[in-house]
Amino acid sequence: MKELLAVLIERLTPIVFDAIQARQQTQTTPVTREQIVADLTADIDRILGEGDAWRATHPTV
Amino acid sequence: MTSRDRHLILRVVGPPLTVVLWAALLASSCGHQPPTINPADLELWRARQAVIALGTVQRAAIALNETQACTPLPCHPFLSDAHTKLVIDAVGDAVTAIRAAPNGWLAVARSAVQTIRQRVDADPTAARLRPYLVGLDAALEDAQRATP
Repeated sequence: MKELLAVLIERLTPIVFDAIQARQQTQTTPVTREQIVADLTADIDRILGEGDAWRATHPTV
Repeated sequence: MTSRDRHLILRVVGPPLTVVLWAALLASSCGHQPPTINPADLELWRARQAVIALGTVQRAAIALNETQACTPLPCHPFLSDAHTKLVIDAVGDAVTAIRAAPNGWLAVARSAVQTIRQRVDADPTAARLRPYLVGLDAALEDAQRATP
């Protein structure tokens, strides 16, 4: 059980730090509309790509 | 968040995951818009906050799916393939809709949360997704509150 918890913490902690960093960056950096659109597009492309990559490794689900 | 929510979080996912959840909630509670944003662009900026939160939930779901739990045997994903797909599908649909109509981000994101929540409520084995829905709700509330 301890091993499982350690693995969960190891896997989830970077995700939370990335999210915190992404949010802080959006909240402290001066932005233009064009920059927001570019960042939003990049985020959406990344999320869809991560989902597609998971589906590719789980074709029967 | 009600005391019932907090109790469910503690009971379902245990202290370590709760720490992770609270870290995410703490981050969202500090949210504010950037210093030089044009008020006309505020909804677009809020849409990105929602997308970041949705993406975080998806990454967490994938990470939980990649983690093997061996109690009870046989070893199995901590989050099942079916529940991981549920999150990925809901998040994918939501961000695609937000790309098409960023100003509708709140309704779209809430719909994604509702889709997952209905499944969680109907299937006790999906309960470990509940804290992430609570965190996502908090992040959406935070983004909605940001004002010029």
